[in-house]
Amino acid sequence: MLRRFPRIQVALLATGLLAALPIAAHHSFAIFNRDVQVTLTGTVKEFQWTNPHVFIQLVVKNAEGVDEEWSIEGASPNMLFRSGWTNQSFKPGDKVTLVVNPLRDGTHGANFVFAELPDGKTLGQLNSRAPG
Amino acid sequence: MNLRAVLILLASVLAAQSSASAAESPALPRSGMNGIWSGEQGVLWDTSVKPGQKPRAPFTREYAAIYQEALDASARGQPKADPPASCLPPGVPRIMASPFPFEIVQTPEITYILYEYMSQIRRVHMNGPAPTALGLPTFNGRSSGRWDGSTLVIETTDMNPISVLDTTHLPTSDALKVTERLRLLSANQLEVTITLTDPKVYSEPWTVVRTYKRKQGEQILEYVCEENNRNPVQSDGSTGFVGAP
Repeated sequence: MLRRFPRIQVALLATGLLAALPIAAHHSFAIFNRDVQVTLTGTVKEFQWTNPHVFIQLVVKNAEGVDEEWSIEGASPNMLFRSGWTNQSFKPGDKVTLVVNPLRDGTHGANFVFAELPDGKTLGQLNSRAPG
Repeated sequence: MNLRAVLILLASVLAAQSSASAAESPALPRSGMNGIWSGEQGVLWDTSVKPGQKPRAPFTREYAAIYQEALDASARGQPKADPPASCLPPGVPRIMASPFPFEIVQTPEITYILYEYMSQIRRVHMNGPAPTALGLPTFNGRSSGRWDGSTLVIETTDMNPISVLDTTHLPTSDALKVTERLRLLSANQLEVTITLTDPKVYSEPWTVVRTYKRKQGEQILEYVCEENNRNPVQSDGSTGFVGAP
């Protein structure tokens, strides 16, 4: 399931730009459209707990019901570890909803903003409490 | 007492107060700088501006144009290649604006600064100039240190001019000299006043002040950038994104 809506509608939910600023140490975020947030619901295929960025490989059904694999980029493991994440924060098979900033080029990649977990909790990058 | 005498008295009282506040505190020994510290400002170099504002760099005309070109390229969605995006070290002085902690370890001969970001190490030679045998320039240059009271003064030269100061691509040149003045504001807060002197890039020295909080109980974690860099710099200088296979 994929929903797309302007940032303003989810501004109350997401810490957005401010939360991501300290993360921008390694590379420019110009490749992502920070004005748009997309909600992806799918199944985790792989969680790469690696430097310089973690990646969640998420399989999402598109509008035609066909599986598509998305690559969702997060911060670095050291930063996330200090925010309460571990290499077990996402596991293959997990059903999750991720709110992301999509790539500007329209391919299936994005920058992680926050996750809605199966237990109803949300997971941000700078702290593990609900963002915002 | 006339007005002039009152003003002179007032000025001397204020001067005495300011020199008193600058006096060294015996409660903060030099060894108090040892430990793990974490920056309190963001990763943008100019700590005096908000994100999106232009830094107040006293650029020469030539380098004002070079920086504007980088800003324009970024606005077009084609930012210039940022060396750390290719896992190259940020270099001195950008490493001081890292979002991750660093550890200071003092020995009589060398003060080590061990950074989590990119697993970088700086060696500050306390007994004379740093050796040049490895060949120069290098990302972290060569640093020598001396004590000015309880302030540690580090001078660094011979940095690689491909380094920039932050992701907005503030340029440097081979003429850059960095002077860092480290002093404890309290047992748990370190101030570093960083002055960039570079007659090619700046018309006058440019100083920024950064502060760092002591991270008691923190540990320096591993950060090996080459492990899985899925944002390689492209041939046009833009940041790439390696998607699913």
